[in-house]
Amino acid sequence: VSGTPARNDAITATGSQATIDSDTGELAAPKRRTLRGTMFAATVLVVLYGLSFPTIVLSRLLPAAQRLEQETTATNTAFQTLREQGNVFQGAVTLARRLNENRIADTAGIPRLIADTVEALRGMSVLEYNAVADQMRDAFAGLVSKTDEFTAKLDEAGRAYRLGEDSVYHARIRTALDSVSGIAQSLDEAQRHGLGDLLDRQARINAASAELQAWTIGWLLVGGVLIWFLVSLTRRRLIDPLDRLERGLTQLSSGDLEARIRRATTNWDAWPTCSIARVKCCVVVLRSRGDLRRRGNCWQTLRTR
Amino acid sequence: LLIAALLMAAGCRERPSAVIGIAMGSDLVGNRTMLSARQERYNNSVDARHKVELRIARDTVQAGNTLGWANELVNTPGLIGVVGHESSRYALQAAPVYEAREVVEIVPTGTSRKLATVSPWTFPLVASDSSQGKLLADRIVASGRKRVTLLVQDDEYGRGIVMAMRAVLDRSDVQVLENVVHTPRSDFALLVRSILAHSPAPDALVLITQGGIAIDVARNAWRQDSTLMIIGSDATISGATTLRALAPGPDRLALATYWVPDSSDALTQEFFRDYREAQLEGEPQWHHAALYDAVGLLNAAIKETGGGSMDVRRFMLSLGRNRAAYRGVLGEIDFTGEHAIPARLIRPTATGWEPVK
Repeated sequence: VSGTPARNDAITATGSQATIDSDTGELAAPKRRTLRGTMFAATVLVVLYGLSFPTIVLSRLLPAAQRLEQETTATNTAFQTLREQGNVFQGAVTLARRLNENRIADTAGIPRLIADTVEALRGMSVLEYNAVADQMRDAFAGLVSKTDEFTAKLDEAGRAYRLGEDSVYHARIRTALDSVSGIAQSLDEAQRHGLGDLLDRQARINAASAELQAWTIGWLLVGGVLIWFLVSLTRRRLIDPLDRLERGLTQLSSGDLEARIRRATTNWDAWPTCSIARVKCCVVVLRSRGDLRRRGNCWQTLRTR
Repeated sequence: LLIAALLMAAGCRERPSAVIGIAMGSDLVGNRTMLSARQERYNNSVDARHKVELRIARDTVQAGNTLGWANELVNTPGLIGVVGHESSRYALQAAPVYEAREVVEIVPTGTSRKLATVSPWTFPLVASDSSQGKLLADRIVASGRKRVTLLVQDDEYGRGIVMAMRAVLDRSDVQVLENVVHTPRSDFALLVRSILAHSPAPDALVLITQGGIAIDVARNAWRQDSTLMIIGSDATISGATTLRALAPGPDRLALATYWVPDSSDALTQEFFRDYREAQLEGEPQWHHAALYDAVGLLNAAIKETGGGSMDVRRFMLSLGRNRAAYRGVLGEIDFTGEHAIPARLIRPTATGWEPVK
């Protein structure tokens, strides 16, 4: 460095920037990333990388998976309940048909039979409306009111029988049987919509799985780049200097007092440009098809950087 | 410039910023008239940003198609709250639809205890069936009647009240003869014949059903046994005037209600005026007042918060906590669960009704 630099002027010193302290007028040493700072930055990067995947899983995928699981469980429960209700209902319809065709021999037991069936219908497990999947909700609501109507008519038949009102009894049994097709239709509809809901859920599970796969691949790619960066960093900032130190010390111990230990000369500010140039060079080499002149030019250019 | 002009033109139109949906099945025209007068007054009292439009679910949707109404309303642009549905069952069925679309559902007349937990977006206006069931059962016990039959609507409302009543009656010396479950299309004459033919016969009948059905049953029952005491749940109140005329004596009838009018109260006077001007038939009942209050509550929420659904929900939750309870015709309303509007019993007098002590 020669001459007297003016205050606040920047001067170039061995490729780095040196500055003049505005108060003292002294030349300040060029700022250089310390090994400690670099290692700290690397640690932060590793920690961020390590936390990123669990964060993605916890914040995006896990809640979605939990919701999906809850909904699927709800649909399964709905199916199970519908099956149970279907069985009870089937029994009641069978009884109503036998009563309609006067196929019950023990006529004195008819009121008890009807009362028990009505009780079984009213005691059927009930699904909460908010536990029913969206697609099933409409059919389910219809099914509930139609089943209630069937049960009420059967109950009325039993009451008419106890009162000895035969014509009313038969009329109510017929009314109850008339509603059977509507109930069966609603039951089918609810099951069909439930199946549609399950298929829809299956598609969502596949989509979630694909999303997880994409995130994993992305994470691994970023990991690969990070590892390359860390290896490169370790080589440049730890292994190479130690290697040079070892060689220098060996030379000194062997009596070569002229031996010099070179300090690392990596220009970190130019490092990204240099890396890009290296990649470009690789491309040139690959595309040179044996053109040694082009290869040589390329490496020469790189060396000058 | 074109975009700016369009935006300015859109801003110039005086358009309500929020919409309240009304999903109450009975007397659509009457409700619309009564609420319109009130809404006009409210809109005239606020600036353009806080104006509210009432959207009444179309009566073209098949009656009882709750989900049809709910789906129609949630697709209304600007909807921030719904008042309804009429019954506990319908309100429960519609709750998941509103929750999915983040719309506040104020249930003015549903009393099922399930309403309090079905969705974080559902707010029942009055106390649940647990307290009403206890009230009805206590009245039976206090009356000295020993044999009671329950005529119950087959839904969440009926089952909830029966459950609460049985908890009291099963510990008393009152015998529950029958639990007669019905649907709107039941043969009520047959049911009454069957109830009164029971041996031993009941000396009290509890009607947990709608007003029209209660009138039908009470008329048949008192025709056959005028000593029968009839106690009606809150839903029977829509038939109150006819039931009072039918009752053989003032001690033979008691009805549950969530509102005993205080005519000296300014809010009640305003409500009476709107009710009269709407030319609705009969006396104003608690379900009219509840509907009126539910709309008023949502108006107040929009006025205070600006009308975002989440803000309206927060407003509801803050009532009685860090904000004073809403003062309505029914009384002080909040959703803390600690000061719910309670059910009370009334009995007929020569000129009207009086609370049962």
